[in-house]
Amino acid sequence: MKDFEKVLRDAKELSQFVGEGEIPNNLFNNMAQITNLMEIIKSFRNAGSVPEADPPAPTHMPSNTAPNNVRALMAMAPYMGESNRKNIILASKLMELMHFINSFENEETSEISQPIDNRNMLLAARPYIEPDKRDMVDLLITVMDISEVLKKIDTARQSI
Amino acid sequence: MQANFDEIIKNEAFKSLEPEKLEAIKDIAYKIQGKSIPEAFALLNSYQAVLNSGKPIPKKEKELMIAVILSSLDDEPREKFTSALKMVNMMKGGY
Repeated sequence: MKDFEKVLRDAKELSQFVGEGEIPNNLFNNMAQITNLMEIIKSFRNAGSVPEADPPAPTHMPSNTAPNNVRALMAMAPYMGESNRKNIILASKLMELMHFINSFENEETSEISQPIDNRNMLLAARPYIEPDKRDMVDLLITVMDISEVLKKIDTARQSI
Repeated sequence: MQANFDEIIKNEAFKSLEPEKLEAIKDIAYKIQGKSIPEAFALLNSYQAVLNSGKPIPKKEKELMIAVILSSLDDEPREKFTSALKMVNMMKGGY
């Protein structure tokens, strides 16, 4: 049997997070995604990357590549209550994971930053841009084409 | 578990709730028992339209609705539900 009073206390606290008015449309989807991420983090932890132990201070250390805001959160965690500590550690891990994912995206961005990709990217986006702003896109594409032609001329001149 | 649910559902605040919403909450409380957390969220999602129809659920009723969910979930999914709601709030800056 659950502690009835505790359930009511928890519900009162949690209801503040749902707020007034309608239940947000994506609330349960977001909660489901968060629990998925938490499971992923847990599986990483169980795989040995961050061993489970108590007290948490030495065991939930951020990686060497973690940004300072993650390190700051992790440093605060041991001084918080049990439930807050768990949430702070999870938030830190999520932020660290996002930082990790972003670092991959930055690498990919550097690969696709050649002029031809930018041109195709603009062409792909063009139909979804407001008609009165498409001239600007066309102008950009023309500039890119001219720049490309000039580069080719320059390369050809150097090879002579 | 059932005793908790009965106590909550008898609460004065629930009496002002629209009948279809009260019915939805009873359904959720019954169906969510023994569900895993993904199943629980899918179930809650399926009732969202009913819960958001008509007048918005007032604060006190929302609190009791969460109490119904918490008292109906098993220990592990209940803990995950609580953490997820707190996390969503932290990440979105509150709803």
